[in-house]
Amino acid sequence: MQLPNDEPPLCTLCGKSPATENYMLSGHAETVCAACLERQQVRDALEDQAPRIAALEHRKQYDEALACLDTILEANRSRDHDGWLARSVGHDRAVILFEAGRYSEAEQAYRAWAQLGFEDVSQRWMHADGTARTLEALGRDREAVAVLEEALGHEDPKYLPSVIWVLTGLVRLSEKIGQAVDSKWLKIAQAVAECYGVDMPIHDSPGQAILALQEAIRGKQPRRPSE
Amino acid sequence: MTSRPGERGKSKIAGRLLAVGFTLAMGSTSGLLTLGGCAGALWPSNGKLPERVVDKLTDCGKRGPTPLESVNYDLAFTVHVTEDDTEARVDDVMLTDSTLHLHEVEVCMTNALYGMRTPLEALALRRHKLAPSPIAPPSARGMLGQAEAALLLEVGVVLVVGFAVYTVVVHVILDKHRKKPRPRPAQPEIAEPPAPALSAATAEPTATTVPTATTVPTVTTANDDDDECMALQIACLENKKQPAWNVKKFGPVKNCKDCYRECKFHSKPPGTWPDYKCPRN
Repeated sequence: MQLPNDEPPLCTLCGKSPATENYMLSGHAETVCAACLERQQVRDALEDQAPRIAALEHRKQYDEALACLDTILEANRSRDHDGWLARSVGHDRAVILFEAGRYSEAEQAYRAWAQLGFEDVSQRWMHADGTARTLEALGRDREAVAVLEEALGHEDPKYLPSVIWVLTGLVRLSEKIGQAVDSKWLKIAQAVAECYGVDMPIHDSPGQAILALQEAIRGKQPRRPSE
Repeated sequence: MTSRPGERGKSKIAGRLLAVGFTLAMGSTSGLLTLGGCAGALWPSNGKLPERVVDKLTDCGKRGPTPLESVNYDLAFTVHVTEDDTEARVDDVMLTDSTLHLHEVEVCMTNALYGMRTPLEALALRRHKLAPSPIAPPSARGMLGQAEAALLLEVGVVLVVGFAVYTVVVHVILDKHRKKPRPRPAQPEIAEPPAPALSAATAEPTATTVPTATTVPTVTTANDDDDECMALQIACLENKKQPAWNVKKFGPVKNCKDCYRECKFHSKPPGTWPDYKCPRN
């Protein structure tokens, strides 16, 4: 006869702490720890409003979209222990200001977001891409190139499929200022090609090789972890 | 104002359905009954939600309670639509009444209605003969403020999920003040004829204006990318759980918002969804 086990199961999200709470994730009841429950509730607070914010952006009601973000952040700031909400709102704020054509404010917002740190390298790349586009809009193309090159210095193989738009952005801006793309970035492009299972295109110009790679992987999916 | 959870019997919403002359079209064995065949001049008999949206609402209902005896839940939404010459868009969705009080299901259904963004589906809801005295429900009036608005359509569906019966009423409100400027042909404006009744399941667009006055978007535009990324974000939010094969790399929950930003703002070509971190499973 088996004795009952009084030990609660581990949290299905973090796998570390005892699961003491229930949380509905995609229609499934998950047993989670109190910390993960709170983290998810904070995320839900923003994600539940994401379609509404996107709709506001779409109809160019940027002030309303920004106000919506502020409201969510203020209401949940005390529960945002890992800073996810502040970073996400910082990201959204910068993009919305850019889309509104308020480039100086967007530049400041991108700086503010950077001060909150990045969860992963794809966020760093999104930050660099947005900052570069903002600087370009402000007529500071050379600074924009430098921002992209700095971001490409941070790598994580997990996020390789996303780096292609940083590389192509670099090619476009480099051409615009009449500067050749450094061949050292071809190493990253090569890794992207391997990730997608395609041959790295060969060109005299690194920039042209990167653009050809973008065409080669268009519509393709990167290999899955098991492949 | 909302009612108590699990309230049974004839509810406000069910009463309203009957008041506007809806007929419950019984007979489906698929677990989904669609209210159609509505009587009266206000509501065309074929007025119903797009099939895909109804499917999504049903999926949302499956996330709700699983009672052991029949329980009715009533939800009312106000969907705010703007339209121009070629398309109608859902701009806002508000839950105005609910006896369910289950946040996840209510949000899921709200987002499902946001998903009704594609021009064809929105046009399927379009009716050019507005009610003689269009009266927006009080809850909608509050939302619309001073905008000139007209109740475009009221549709309802009954979703049967096990013993749970969801009666979902959707008020579609047309806001006349938010028409987006669009390039028009250099021709005088003419009154549009009544739109042909579009079947919700119809896959082919039907011209809704006199051809000479119609601009039909046929090329991919930034707005198309917006729509695609938006639809994918909603699908992602409805299924945030990371598939098992991707958990080790990206954790148990997808970051749908980041994926949306990447799709909409950063990806090349624009509108490319980062499936590798937010798979469409």
